[in-house]
Amino acid sequence: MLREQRKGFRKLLYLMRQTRVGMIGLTMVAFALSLALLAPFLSPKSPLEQNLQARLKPPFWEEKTDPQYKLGTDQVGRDLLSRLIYGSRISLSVGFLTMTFSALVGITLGILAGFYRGPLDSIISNGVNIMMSFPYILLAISVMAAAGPGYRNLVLVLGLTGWPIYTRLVRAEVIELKSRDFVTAARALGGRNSGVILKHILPNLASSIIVLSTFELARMIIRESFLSFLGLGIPPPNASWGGMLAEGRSYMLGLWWLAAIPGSAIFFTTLGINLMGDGLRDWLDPHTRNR
Amino acid sequence: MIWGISLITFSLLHLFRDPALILLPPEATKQDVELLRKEMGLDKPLIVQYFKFLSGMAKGDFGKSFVAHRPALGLVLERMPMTLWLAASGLLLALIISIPLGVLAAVHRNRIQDHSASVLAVLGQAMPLFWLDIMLIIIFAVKLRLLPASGAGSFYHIILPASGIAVSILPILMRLTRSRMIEILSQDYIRTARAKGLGERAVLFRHALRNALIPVITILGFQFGMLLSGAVITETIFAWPGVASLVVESIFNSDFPVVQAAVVVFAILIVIANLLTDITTAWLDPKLRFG
Repeated sequence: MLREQRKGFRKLLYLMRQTRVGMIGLTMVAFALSLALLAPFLSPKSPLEQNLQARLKPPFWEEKTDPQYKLGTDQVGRDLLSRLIYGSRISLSVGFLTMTFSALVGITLGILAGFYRGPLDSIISNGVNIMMSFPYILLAISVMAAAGPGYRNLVLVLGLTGWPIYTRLVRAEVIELKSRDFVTAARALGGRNSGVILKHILPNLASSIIVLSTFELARMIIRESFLSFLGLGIPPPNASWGGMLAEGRSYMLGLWWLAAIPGSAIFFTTLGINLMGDGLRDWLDPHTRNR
Repeated sequence: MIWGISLITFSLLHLFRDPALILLPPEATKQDVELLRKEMGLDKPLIVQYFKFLSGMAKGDFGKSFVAHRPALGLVLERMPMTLWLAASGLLLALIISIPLGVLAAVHRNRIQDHSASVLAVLGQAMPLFWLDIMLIIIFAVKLRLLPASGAGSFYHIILPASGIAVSILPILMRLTRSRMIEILSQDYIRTARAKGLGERAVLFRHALRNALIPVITILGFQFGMLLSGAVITETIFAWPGVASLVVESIFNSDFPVVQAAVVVFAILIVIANLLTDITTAWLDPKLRFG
């Protein structure tokens, strides 16, 4: 089992190297991930420790910088670099949790709708259409404003706005798969519905779900940071990239880096994830190669 | 669909918080709260309130804004032209850039033009819109002092917000144009057109592009919700006086009538957008007219 897994992993690496873009993306994501995992060892200072004597210090490339603070400090003298490193924890963990949550809900509903069809399907499909044509952001803002900011609420709300796209994809694929011969054969041999779904349908969905999940992860990170930016996500003083961006925005006129640095971190991460997704898609779906 | 959205917003806004408690100052007595609740009809069961809301909606009456003390629908409709103006400019800008780029990439497939276009698409896709908006302000308004940073009034005010929106929908339009053009350029009727000595420009624009645009327009219709999400983000950052910024403000003020009116108006807009999409595709593609 383990050896098989390792073989699979080596194959993945090999193929990712073939698609250079995916490899660059993977490296970027690995970098962000290791920042998040090793945050306590990497950050030079505590992300919450204030030093009012050293407020709004500029980063290393500007004049009058303080070598203690490589990227400068914010309005209450907290080390920007440390906050940036700790911020990766929030972005990535919220991203992964909401992606998983919405994937589980979306895939389940998609299989139910596509496999059983009937009135259940029309209820689910209508729900998907309503959710997908409505600006998700208004939904997320209004629920967050009502439920109050916080980590748990944020994950729940983002998860609830993210499922329809999975349902739409999975439903369409299940309908297509169900008409294939191997599924008909499995059912004709007396396979129970649950067995057919688990053994024959789910494995065939895996690659498109993996690709979609990658892009969704990037999207979730952006949504999290926007909600935190509005003050509806992770409450201060926690270091979140969106929150830092909001604080930096008030100093936009002079100290532009306060907004530019946390934004670049978000951009770097989502870019890496998107590149990785492109690589994965090329690898898993040969049809789109050279397209 | 409009009904579904109205149900969602109504329940969301009413399940979480008691409007009467938010409206009154904290030192208000219990009697004051009860009095206000009675006045607003909040003491009745939720289902009664919902039907009252529905019948009001049919007449275009969403109640008065808690903050402005004016009919909510009027407030929303007043701001509508600004949002439509912004969304339309962003869309137009995106189309003007993305379609020629997509054609260029398809014609020079796997060459430098193609690769640079796809790099642009990946960058645009990964870019968090709210950060892009802020960077636009920093670069063009603060550093270069070329354009106004926020508000509306002159033609110059719309350039930055419209560019932000354009970048957010550009990648998907460009990619689609490109992949459709590649597909179409390899088809027989294109070869025929070339064989009969038609100039390359006529082949590209009269024969190929016209057919390639059909799915682009379909996607545009589906992306309308995304366009509105983009408007919400952009209006918030640029303090653009449209409906979206009104909604965000109203959500923070717990001004339910305005939120509900705006959401329903958005839903109607989405339905209209879908209808227009169908009509336009039918006009471009005679095959679909009698489907």
